[in-house]
Amino acid sequence: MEILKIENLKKRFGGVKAVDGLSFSVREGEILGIIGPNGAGKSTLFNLLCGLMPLDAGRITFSGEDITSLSPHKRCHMGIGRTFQICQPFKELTVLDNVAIAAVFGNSKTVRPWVVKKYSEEILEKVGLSIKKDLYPAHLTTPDLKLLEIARALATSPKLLLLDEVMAGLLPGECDRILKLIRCINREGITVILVEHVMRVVRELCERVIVMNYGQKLCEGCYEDVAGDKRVIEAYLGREETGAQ
Amino acid sequence: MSAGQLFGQALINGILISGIYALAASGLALAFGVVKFLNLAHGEFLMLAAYLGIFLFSSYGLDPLLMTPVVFTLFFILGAVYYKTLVKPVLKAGELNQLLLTFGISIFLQNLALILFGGTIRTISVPYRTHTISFWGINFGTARLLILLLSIVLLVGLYQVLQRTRVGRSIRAVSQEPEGAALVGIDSEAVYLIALGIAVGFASVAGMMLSIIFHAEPMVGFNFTLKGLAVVVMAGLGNVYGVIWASLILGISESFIGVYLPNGTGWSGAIFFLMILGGLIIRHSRVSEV
Amino acid sequence: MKNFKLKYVIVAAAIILAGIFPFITGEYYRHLGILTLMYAVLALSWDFAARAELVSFAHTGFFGLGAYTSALTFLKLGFPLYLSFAAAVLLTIVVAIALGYLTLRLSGIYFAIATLAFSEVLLVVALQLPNVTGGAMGISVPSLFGGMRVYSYCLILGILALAVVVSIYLERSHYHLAFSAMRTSPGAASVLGVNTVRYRLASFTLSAIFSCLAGAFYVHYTTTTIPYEAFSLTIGVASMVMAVLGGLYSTAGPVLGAIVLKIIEEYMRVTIPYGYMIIYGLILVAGILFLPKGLVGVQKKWKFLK
Ligand SMILES: Nc1ncnc2c1ncn2[C@@H]1O[C@H](COP(=O)(O)OP(=O)(O)O)[C@@H](O)[C@H]1O
Ligand SMILES: [Mg+2]
Repeated sequence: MEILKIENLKKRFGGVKAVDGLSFSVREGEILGIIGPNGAGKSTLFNLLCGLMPLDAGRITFSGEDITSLSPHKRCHMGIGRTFQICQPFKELTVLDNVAIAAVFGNSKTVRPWVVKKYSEEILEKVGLSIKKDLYPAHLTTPDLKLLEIARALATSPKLLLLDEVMAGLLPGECDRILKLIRCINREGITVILVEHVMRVVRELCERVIVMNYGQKLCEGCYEDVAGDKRVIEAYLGREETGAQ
Repeated sequence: MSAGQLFGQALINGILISGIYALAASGLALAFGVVKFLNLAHGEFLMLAAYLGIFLFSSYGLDPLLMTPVVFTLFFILGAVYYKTLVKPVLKAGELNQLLLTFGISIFLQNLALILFGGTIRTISVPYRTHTISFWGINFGTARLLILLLSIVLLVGLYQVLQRTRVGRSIRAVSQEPEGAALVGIDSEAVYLIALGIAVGFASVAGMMLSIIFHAEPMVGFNFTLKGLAVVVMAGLGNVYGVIWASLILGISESFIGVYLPNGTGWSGAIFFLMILGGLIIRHSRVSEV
Repeated sequence: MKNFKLKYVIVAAAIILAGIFPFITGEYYRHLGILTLMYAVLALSWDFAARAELVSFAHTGFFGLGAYTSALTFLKLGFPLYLSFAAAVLLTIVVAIALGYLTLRLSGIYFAIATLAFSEVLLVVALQLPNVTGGAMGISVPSLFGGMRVYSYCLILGILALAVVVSIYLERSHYHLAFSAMRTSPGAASVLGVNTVRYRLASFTLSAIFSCLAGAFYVHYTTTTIPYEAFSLTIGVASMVMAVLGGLYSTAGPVLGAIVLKIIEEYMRVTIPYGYMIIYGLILVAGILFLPKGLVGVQKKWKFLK
């Protein structure tokens, strides 16, 4: 069954077509990988999916409902959770409160005030941050901040989780820890869209991969097919050449 | 006076006053466009310059219009110092702090003027203050005409500098793409300094003009901040080029309302604020919060 | 544990002092106390908006709106005092929601400019409709409680108490999480389910209500006002500076700021009759540059009050 379907999505910033006529759908329960060179429009796609930016054209259907013009908090209540590529912790709040806010405001059914603390602690336990629950984000390391991003998204009980480069800048060992976590989240029935540059992770997690370039879909398929595709190699190499100039 | 002449006079009066508005507003727009800094104390520089103009004339008999090059230079330096000491520390501290800080400076300077010069309105009479030229029964105040010409010269000068010189290109580059400008080696720090210097310098010239055709009093500056905001908002915040037509609209509509509405001069104050509200709401909605 | 108790001792002492103040002092200090409490209400109300990252200059407008609505319904429609207050609050809610609906889509700076424009438009309207508002001559009402200052003191203390209760509720409930999140990153807050527009509108309306109440109280207490006074930017300035000085996003901060600033102002007024407002400018600048957390923040650094 399809959980998410996007049709002909478009978004431009001035002269830049960040997302340019993108269409695909996501099956319930799968882990879909999205890769592509920097500036391909992956983060913009996430912003459109969660409603942070109005789109120029196109249609987004989630769980059978048209959510194209719904505001972000409503999409969150419907079950779309996301993390940010650049972590955006609430720096005035403790780790526990960072999760609590998602628990309180992010669920369509209200989480009763007296269970919020326990609920949030359980989620921190799951991602492995419980011992740091009383710290402020300023005192967290990069991997911990990424885990906090995931924990907050999980606290909204999502059906679909959008992960934007959660492994960027992590050491291999730290990657493995998050990799296991994502697999575990997926087993619980949460559909995942994963934007990732660490190819090993994409290979191990994703059944299906979409390659984006210049806001468009370059190709789609299982990891082995995509990784061998000539156009994909060109897209990455081409960008590197221009980058070197 | 015939109906046609009344109309013509109202139109001319509106056009004549819009030069000062454009000067005051272009400084505000420049600071906002380049430095991304909304200077609520902008008008206070205008007010200080108006007092300076009055002082120069009444103590030394120096004509304020002839003194503009000197005053501009002086206030350019003042603007640079202002940038270094007060603006820079809050540039990274968020909009809320910038607004509060410049508003605080504005209050401080207003009351400083009140303490130093008192609340009375001060005027001077340059020899040509009341002199007029008439065409077709429509009066052109000589002083106002001179001032409009000077404004045009300065604004055209500013545009030429922005378009043709190295400094101007750097300023535009920083205002459009700060990161890109930094990559090609433009010193944004210097550009900010120059932009704020020009902004304050222009405010001072507008202030000298005020001393001739209008008056100086502690609150006169804040009024011009507000009118400048109206112009800048209509033109699109940070858009130096739209300032001219927006100033014309403001000047002319004020003048017409003053002439044709009963008790109209009182309402003209509300008009420019309605322009702000309308302009803002139409133009700038909260697009992205990322 | 000992420190923890000290805080409560101080709060209790402050409450008792506020309660007995009018009975142990003369008319002059009573009057000063009343104005201080009124400004505390204003400062707290300004902080309500600031908590949602809104720099509002609309407080001047709502203060004047409260003053004029209350005075006019009292005078022209014969409303009793409490009904005239209620009418003012009702109108304020409508206006605040309408204004908020139009302007809250604007981001920070634009919102501030729009609210400034709003206040000034109201001033012009009050001046230009002399048949309704009395124009530049202003309006007069009979004195509140027959001029018995003790009662006036109790009324404004009651309004402040209400504001404090609301403030503490906002601080202690989960709403404070939402506000704090919106200040740091409105985007992240909204994808985590916070209805940012609604909370902005709510805090803006709430803050408008308390400015309006202060204005309504003011006109009845002083018995007369003119547009240039009721819609004076000074009111907005004072509430903003007091909140910044005392410490934003807290209950004690704005109240403390109001008390300290009113005392300084009273002293300045004697030394510099014109231009005493210079102190507001100075404190605002110094506060932003050197005291980002206000006096409450300083107090938090001294560990003993923690
Ligand atoms: N808020 C924005 N304003 C202007 N341009 C943007 C904005 N966000 C992204 N872009 C541009 O859109 C393109 C796609 O960016 P992004 O979605 O971040 O790419 P990716 O995440 O794939 O690296 C880039 O060229 C980027 O510069
Ligand atoms: Mg990205």
